[in-house]
Amino acid sequence: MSTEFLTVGQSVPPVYGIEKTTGVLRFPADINLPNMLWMKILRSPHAHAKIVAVDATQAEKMPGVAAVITHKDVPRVLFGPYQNEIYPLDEEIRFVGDTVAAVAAKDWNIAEEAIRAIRVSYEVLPAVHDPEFGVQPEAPGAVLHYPESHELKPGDIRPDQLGTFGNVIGLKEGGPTVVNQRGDVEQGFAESDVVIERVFRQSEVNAVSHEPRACVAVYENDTCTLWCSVQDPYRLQDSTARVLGLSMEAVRVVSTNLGGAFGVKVTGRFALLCALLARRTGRPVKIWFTREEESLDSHNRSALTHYVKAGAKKDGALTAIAVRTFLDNGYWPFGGLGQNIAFAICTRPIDLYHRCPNVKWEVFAVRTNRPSTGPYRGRADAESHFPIESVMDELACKIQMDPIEFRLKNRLQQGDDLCSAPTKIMSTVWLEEAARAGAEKIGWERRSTLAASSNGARKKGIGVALVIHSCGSNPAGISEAEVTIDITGAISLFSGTADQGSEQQTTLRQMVAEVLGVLLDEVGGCNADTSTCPFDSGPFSSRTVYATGIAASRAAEEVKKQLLELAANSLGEVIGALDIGKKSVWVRANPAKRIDLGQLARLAGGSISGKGIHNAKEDRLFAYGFAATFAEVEVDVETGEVRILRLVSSHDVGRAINPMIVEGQILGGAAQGLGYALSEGFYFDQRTGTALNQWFLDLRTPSILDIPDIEPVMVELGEPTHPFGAKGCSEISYVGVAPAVANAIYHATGARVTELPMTPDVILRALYDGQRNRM
Amino acid sequence: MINFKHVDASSTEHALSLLAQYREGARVLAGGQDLLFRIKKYIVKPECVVNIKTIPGLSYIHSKPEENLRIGALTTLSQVAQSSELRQRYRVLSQAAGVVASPQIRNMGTLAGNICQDVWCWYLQDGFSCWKSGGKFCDLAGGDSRYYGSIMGGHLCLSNHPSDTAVALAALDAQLHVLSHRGKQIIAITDFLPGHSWVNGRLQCHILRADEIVTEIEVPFHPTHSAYVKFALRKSWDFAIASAAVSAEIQDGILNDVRIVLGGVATFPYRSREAEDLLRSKQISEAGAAAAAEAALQPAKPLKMNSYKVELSKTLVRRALLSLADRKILN
Amino acid sequence: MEAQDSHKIVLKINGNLHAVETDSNWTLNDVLRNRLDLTGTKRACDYGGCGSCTVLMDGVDVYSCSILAVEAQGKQITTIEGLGNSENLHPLQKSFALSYAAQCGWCTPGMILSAKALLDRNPDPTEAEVRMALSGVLCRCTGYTSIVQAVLDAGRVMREKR
Repeated sequence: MSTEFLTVGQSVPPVYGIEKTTGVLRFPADINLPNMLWMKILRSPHAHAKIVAVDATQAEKMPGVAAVITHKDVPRVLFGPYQNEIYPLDEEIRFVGDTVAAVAAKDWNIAEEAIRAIRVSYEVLPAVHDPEFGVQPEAPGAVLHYPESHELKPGDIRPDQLGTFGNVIGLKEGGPTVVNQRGDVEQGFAESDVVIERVFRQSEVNAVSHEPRACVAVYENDTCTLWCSVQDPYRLQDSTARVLGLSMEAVRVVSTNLGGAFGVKVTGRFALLCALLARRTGRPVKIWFTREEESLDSHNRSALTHYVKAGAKKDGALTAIAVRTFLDNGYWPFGGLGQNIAFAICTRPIDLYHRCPNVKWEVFAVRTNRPSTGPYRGRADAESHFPIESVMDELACKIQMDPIEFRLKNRLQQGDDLCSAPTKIMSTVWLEEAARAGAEKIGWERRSTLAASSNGARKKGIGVALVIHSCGSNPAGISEAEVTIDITGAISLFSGTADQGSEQQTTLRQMVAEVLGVLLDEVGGCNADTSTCPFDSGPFSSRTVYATGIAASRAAEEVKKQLLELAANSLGEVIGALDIGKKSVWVRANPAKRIDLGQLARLAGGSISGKGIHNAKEDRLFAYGFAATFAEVEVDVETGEVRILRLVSSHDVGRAINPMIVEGQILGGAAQGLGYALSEGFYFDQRTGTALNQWFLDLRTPSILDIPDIEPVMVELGEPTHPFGAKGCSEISYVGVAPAVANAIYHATGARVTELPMTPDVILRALYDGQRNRM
Repeated sequence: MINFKHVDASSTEHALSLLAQYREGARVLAGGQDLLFRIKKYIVKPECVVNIKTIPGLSYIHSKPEENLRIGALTTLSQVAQSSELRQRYRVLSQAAGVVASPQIRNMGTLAGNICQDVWCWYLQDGFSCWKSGGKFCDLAGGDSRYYGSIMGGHLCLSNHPSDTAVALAALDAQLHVLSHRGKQIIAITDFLPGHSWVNGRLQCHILRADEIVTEIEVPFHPTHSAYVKFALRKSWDFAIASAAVSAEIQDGILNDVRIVLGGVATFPYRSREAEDLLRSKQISEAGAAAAAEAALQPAKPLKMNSYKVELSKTLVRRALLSLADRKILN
Repeated sequence: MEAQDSHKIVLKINGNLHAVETDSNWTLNDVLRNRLDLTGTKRACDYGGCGSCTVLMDGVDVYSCSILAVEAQGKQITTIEGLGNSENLHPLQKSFALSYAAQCGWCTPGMILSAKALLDRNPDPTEAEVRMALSGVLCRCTGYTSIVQAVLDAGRVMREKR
């Protein structure tokens, strides 16, 4: 598809490749500064408590301890990654692992000893561990002290906008957080030929970024610099300025490379306390989370329970979908991103099945005394597609229709309006193409004869799941980019987006290179340094290739326009007679008449700069990514082991700017999806509310021996809202894996598994205790 | 990590003097793949760590057809797993050593260390005060016992003994050579690992006293056939959710002698003589294997969340026994 | 709190001798990253559960987080920095860099060193052998396929050079 392009569509080696393989790339955790102190955090042993007294005298006296900071020592200023809703430290403790105090000391061992020497007395408060209990009128409040209106700044979300009574995030007392409703579901069920009712329980799951997050803070001359593993450096800049009482210009945040982030590395207390301790001690301060802290103090995919009822007619038309979802939102007073996620959960799958006339989906996002939950890879769709795609499968089976045909019959089309993006209309939908390409790859037609090849206790099956997910159109997102040319002719791209392993810099620079007619290695640049790079909302929702890509392309086009104007002037030609490429501009009819980019920069006064912006609010068309995941499994019905024989992940990518990188993202997302499907449960102790899976072994992420070579399929049919037709594709492969595997298990055994992860004990329960529905 | 004194032992005598000197304040450090983690997590707090890797002459595999197998305590798991001698004649041990944790851990971890390791349980974490970390409670009894809780009851700590090699060695009648200033003792592995018991004020999985070290593992049983089957959530790192070690002397298809040991289900390697009695002097058959499996799990008393291990273990026992008959590769 | 038990040791890292003062309770990983500023060796868990701290000790892959620094004396330690640099890449570094076998980069040094240990003892491994040899390092980003391919590619290049 890419023969007309110079670099777009080429699998060029990634920009950071050599630095990563030679060990010279510095992550925040790798930064060592002279005279640096190590910080450790004292964490709460209680799920809900009030700090009555803190005695840090023993810790302060320890040799090697430079400072101890408690809730009495920090400015009472609100901040937060999504809205300003928490203080750097608070006397109300809201989950086991919550931040209580911090120490800065000569080394990490001394800091660890010091935090263990801090004496805290708590008044233990009743806690909420379960969302369904949390909504009951008799449930205690998971959060007792909400920020006061007078502590908020203009523009901040107000308590009355998010509901601060009871434990449900939302406006109406006793009501759900969000309801998506159309038609009349009771009428729909009455008209159905088949109805399926199921309860689905999904465990919380941790992102398990391999790099535990780190922050190094330096405070000098009333300015603060933070090197920090966050995807939202601008938010951190804003929060640090607020809490430290500095201007934005006095705060610099650098977050160039992250060792995996997956949506969950955002502004948090650890960074603010690091900055405060740097100010207090006058020395650089570093905190590097332990694995336990990265498990506890992160933003997990929430635990959910879905009560689902769906109906269809014999001809395959969906008649009604009714769902009630309880979502564990963690400890945020204003809900963190819970409302946003709740909205996406109940609207996106409904957009996918646009043809279903009757819908009622209620989501209760509930405050609990548990760690934060938030946007982990596949945000909202990984949460919603497991129940929906499982139920679609059962409906298809009951009416004896092919599972793919059943879904496609009810799907949305280009031009449809969207309940997930109310003012927008749907851009391209290459879902059917992705589904058919994937079906061909896995050999979908083998399905009917697969049972015959099953052997004794080992039963084979193939399942499918169709997926809708973000590809970069995010109404809250803004990306700015700048392209510059200097007098040596060097081209640089400045973008505020952080790299978490998806090599955004490579893809973005390829787009810039393409506009300017050069090769990738002729474009340099910088990312995620608030002092030099323009604002970017961050690499969330697969938005970088799409939204930041649009911004970068626009910036390059702006630079190109300036170059052509300058060249036209200098060469005495009209712009139309000129060509640009190979770092110069020349007259098409007379190529010897040329001027190089460096000279043009000199003519412009030393440098040329062009800016580009993408603000999703301005778009009328809304782009989504679509995919079809196919799983072929072998279930050992005596042990509950599920072997993944093949996994095909077929994607509507628009255009793959760098096919090697897109494929890598598809495979990586699907591999994580297999973890969600089969092994990664983040469980809690019922008695104390403590997370059980803090240690790496218990996080059970798949090893190299556990997963097959996943097979990616890319369908490249373009996307007109993007200059190169690309759709972001770094999360969507995660979403369809769990339901595709569940559907394959159903095909193999007739047992419907309704719990995630589908560990052997869960499989055995479904096989021998659960309902069956032989196909 | 806390402070501790570190000493390299130059000989067994040197090590024993240090252990006698520091008593409960000392810990023996071999491969380091178990102890260091416990020190880091404040589960054990030694005053002195005695490195025994510097003692020469404790790493060897002596396997001769007419003699007992003898393996030095400091032989690494990799060495055990890669030994062609062991693969041929003590397959259960070779297989078990080869599925412990990960290659890097096997490269440093020793056979004696793997036998003497303490439990892995998520209730060892900060925030729980269990028997192993100075508390007086076991959360497995009423809590989340799905992986780490025993199905065969237990005393105080209900966490399963995690070692793969201990299960295999129990199926080989292994004996441990234990050295102290009082002399050398030879202890059957089933006596060495009796479940959790108090030794010198510590609740331990094994009965090694504070001033003793293991120097050798000796195996008097010469099976003609043996196998180790491990079931775990992941194929690397994970401790067994359940496992089975079987070894037998088979002649003309008849089981003259057989050992059946379960792992991942009890606070010690669980040998089932009831199951063995059912099979002795019989031919291996589907029905016989199934009956043996039933008998082995008959005493099971699962906890709230691990009853699935009962049927699972029966399957593993059955399959392990049947594999002896046709050498089928199981996993 | 008692005084730290301190040792003056000499470590041989990537062929160079380093005199270091370290406490008993510092791991080899602590010394590499914080005394010698060799931060190419990573750490994701600190107790042998992830593999990102892998180094070679006398050619064998081990977890540097699970070895006390004082016990690394007298051994040849190889870290990722010792394999090659941007001017002179080891074939493994080159094959990982040119493909997309390094995504976030955190597991990359561990994967490359485990692969080196494999290729040094088995120059022509099967795919299954590659997977077995790398089963002590977790990757959260790639799904492993590109890593296995990069190791096989490097193996081919290394055999041709011989």
